[in-house]
Amino acid sequence: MSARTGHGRLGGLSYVVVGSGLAALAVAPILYIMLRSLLPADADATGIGPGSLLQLTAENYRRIFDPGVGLGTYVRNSVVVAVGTALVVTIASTLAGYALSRISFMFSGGLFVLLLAPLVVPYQGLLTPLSLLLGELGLLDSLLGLILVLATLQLPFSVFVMRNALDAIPIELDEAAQIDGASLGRTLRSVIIPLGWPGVVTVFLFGFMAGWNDLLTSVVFLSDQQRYTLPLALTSISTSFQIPGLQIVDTGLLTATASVATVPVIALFLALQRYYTKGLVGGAIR
Amino acid sequence: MAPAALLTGVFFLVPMVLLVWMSFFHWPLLGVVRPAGVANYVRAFGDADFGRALWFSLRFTAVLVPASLLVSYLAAILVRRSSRVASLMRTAFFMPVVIGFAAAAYMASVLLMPSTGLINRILAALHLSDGTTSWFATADHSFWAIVVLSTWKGMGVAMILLMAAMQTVGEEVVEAAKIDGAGVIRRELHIMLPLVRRQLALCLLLALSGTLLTFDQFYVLTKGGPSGSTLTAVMYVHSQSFVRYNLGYGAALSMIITVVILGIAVVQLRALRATGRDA
Repeated sequence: MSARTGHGRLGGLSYVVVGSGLAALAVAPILYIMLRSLLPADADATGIGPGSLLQLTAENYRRIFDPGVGLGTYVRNSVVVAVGTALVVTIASTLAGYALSRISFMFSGGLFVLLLAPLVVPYQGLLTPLSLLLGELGLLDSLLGLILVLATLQLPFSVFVMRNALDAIPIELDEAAQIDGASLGRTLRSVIIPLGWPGVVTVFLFGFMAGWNDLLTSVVFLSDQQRYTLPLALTSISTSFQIPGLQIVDTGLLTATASVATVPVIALFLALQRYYTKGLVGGAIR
Repeated sequence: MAPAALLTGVFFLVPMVLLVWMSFFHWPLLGVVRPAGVANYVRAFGDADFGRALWFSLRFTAVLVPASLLVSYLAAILVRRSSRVASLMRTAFFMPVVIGFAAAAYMASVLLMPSTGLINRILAALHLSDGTTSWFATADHSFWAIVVLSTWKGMGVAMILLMAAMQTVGEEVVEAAKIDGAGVIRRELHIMLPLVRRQLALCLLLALSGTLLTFDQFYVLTKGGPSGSTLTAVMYVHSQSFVRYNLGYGAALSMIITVVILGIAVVQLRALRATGRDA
């Protein structure tokens, strides 16, 4: 009997064993790819086993960061797009969330609906007119244009999260701050943002993910290879080693590039994971 | 307020209006824009390739969404308690969500390589295949491989939402039924499930529209092939708009997909409201 946890049959040891096993299974593909990226070219032929750990090499990474392949440029572009999208989305959704949660003005209901509208209208369909619009604004084939579009697409989710997060903060707290003479900006900085931190972090994390992982928008808007982001670079690195009709993929290069494209976002997720559940489900869980 | 409203106005409302406008024109990338009336729409309804792509997306959605939601739901049951193992599982199951679909798809392509890929080696070792399966050479194989990949990649989101819903209900409710002698399956099915059905419906709505708009996995892994058999609706719009530069026609196709998605959303929201009433 597992009287302590009270979870009956599934409780106790079997839960620990099955749970750890499933957790390992879920991350195994990612770990396997990272391991493969650290092995020499003949690893596929000889097979990968415990003995592979004796052959670890940084050779594949040396090759992808070679100036000829130029992965460094793509990493830099991806960092710019991911951080830029995260910052724009966090600032815009915090301000909007605050306004929607605190200040009731004539059109606030309508504005909330407008801000959430992109949630039901598929943005994939808007890429055609967006490319014309960005062309008119001189933002086509630019990282800034990509950031602004990705941030807009990320807004409905983020505004929703921020409004929920800020609704959970008692309004008496900002009233107290204002009675003490704090300005609106000061109230935001010292009361709202510290208390709404799970929301802010969640919005930043998902904004970063949206910028870092985007493929479709980048495929459509970026044409100059100097501006390619990592997901786009993955497509070109994997195809440049293919002979038409006969696929010869360089597994070492591919797995190394895939690892570079995943490690930063996984690291950020692990660093911020304390917050995201709370931020995602807002006031529902407490 | 201002920055969010400005962004939404410029990068959502304006393109939305422009989309409707463009769909009534012949709109090549270079050259003269001419009014087309409803010609683009007439063409779309007679376009067998578009019909095939839309049908493929619907089929993919019909298989992936229920499968993925079932996995999310079972995972939510597993991770909803508070213990170290539960939080380890939560992190592990959510991790595929944070990596990009492009990266995940390339990982899958390495894992599924004929002869040398890990999965083919495992299948061969278990005598389930000869290990030379070329997973992306036929429409059937790639369909199922991508269903599994997408479930692994996406199930974490619904898992977290359902987990939170179950935690709000609380274990006490389920525990009470245990005293009455109800087994674990009956407790989950007859007590927990009805109490979280609204959140389940929300997850269904999110999953349906997201899956109908699938692009990344097929773009990376099959390029729509062999011979267009795994082309999704969004891929077809992309190729009409940005490979063949029929921008007006692409806009009309986008309008049709948008209407399909909105239709599904409206039906869902109605159903959601109905379940809310008798709850």
